[in-house]
Amino acid sequence: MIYDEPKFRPLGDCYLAVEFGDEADLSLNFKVLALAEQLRKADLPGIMEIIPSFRELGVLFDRFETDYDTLRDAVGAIQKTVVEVDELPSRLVELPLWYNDPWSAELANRFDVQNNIEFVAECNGITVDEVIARHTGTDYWIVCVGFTPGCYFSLPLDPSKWLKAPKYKTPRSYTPARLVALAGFSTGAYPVASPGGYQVIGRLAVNIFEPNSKSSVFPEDGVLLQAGDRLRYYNVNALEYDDIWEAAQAGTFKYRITEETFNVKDYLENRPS
Amino acid sequence: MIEVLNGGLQTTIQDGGRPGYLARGIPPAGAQDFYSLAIANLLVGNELTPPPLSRAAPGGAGLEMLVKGVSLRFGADSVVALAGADMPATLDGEPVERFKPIRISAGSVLTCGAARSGARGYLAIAGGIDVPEVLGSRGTYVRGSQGGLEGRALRKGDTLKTLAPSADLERLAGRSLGDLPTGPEEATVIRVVLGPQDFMFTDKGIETFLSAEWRLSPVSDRMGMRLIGPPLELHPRPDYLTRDAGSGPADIVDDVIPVGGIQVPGGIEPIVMGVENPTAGGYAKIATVISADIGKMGQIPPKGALTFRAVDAAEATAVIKDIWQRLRDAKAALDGGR
Repeated sequence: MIYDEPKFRPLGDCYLAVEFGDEADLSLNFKVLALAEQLRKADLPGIMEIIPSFRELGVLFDRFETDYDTLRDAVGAIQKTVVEVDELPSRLVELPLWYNDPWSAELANRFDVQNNIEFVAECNGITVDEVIARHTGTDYWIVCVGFTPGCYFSLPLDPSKWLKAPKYKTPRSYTPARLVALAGFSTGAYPVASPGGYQVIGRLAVNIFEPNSKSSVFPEDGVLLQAGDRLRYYNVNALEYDDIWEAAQAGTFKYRITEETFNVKDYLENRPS
Repeated sequence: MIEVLNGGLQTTIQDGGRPGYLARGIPPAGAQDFYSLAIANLLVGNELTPPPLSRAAPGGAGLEMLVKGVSLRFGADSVVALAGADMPATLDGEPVERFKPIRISAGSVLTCGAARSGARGYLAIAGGIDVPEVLGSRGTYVRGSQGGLEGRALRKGDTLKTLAPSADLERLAGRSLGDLPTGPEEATVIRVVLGPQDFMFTDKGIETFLSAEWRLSPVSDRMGMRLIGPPLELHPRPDYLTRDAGSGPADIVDDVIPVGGIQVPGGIEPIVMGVENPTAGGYAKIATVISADIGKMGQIPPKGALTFRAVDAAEATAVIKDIWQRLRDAKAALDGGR
């Protein structure tokens, strides 16, 4: 459901939440990011951080500087000015990915399940090569960065390229760092080794979380990606993977990141179904 | 230099944490019970630990000891203070008390035992522990291997350095808490603000949540504290949420998880998010623990009992403002007298 008017809610005494709807529709995320942009510009007193999520904007505020009611009124007034979202700033980030890699295969073995990319192919009635073609054939919109440092949730901008698959029945206790995985409507990656339940389909040849990085693309917090980025994966083989990983470790790998503006209005009007 | 002779169960360097990186997936970390670390810091003349999720500087870095304490050998004279869980402590074999400055001579060994009540003991050392700041804080994010000492719990053989004390050690050793409360150790009533997804639960579900006696599962840590108790009844969800969010009765499309948020996956075993919370997730949250009581939550021992009481956001704010003001007044009075 997409609400006619957003709902304002306190999350305890430290956060204000502005919720635009409860379903998994990208148009809700565009509203979240547009309001985030306006709030950043407005620089309201007491706001510590603006936290976009899929369909809700969280605002962390310092309760020693402002209070929920004051902030709700101020954010509400700004929200009313964000009527239509025409465009959003959006970086295009290209990431090298080794599909059907040995770590993913070994992980499936260890947890006694079918090779995940083969399973995803079966779920969609296609071959593994077609899975890769589909996954590289659309850009992915990051709706939210969260869960663990640098972890992201993203959706294919071309919904016809969606690869459907369920989560693991029992979550894994371990996933190696940099595995890309999907389940439900979302594709994501594990920035560091962690538990998980998504189907793993490949391994990134570069980090997306790298504190104290030699590369200037990483900010001080070490997190490469942000909500509103578009990801484009490109398929690399074992040799290319090794070369890129080595260069990335040395800080000489050139990340392909382009600052662009994304035309939201065009997209929503012409979105394939 | 301070040598770690025994690291205890999970002892970490903590301060007020690093709020402000939630949209990057980085939780604030810091002391799970800010108040106990704050009064320990107060007693040894360090900067106060602020309440979680505030903009105030993170204060002096001390030790958070989970269930079983550390053993330390001090290379130089010092003053320390213990607060939080009751971990019977000795200095060179002689018992020492919590909530009072403890004068330490070079070569002495301080040993903290297993908690007799509470779950987390705090040790402040005059000057505060000196480790590099990561994103503005010395606190340890255990699951993210960030901050503190190499991002991990202390081990036997580690050494700790401290910054310069704020005053002469003899003067610091004369400090007292006066009429300040010593902390939340016996607290079993946890105050919450209902929501953000309280509407997904039936009246009976909310009533059960607020009236049941809950027990803390031993499977709990700084990320989340899991509760054992009755199931909480949910309303049926609209059909599209099965497609968009999953088939579980409490599955939602992911949103922000606040520190203190109480997720109820499947309507059973609520999880109270700690200071190392996942910052986003997809389960209904029935309520959020108020910031003044996040520390109380952290002092409930494994299998310990608790109940919840609902308050509104304005009351929650008034409570934490009062606590923070009293701490700052006490500090001003003590610092003025040095």
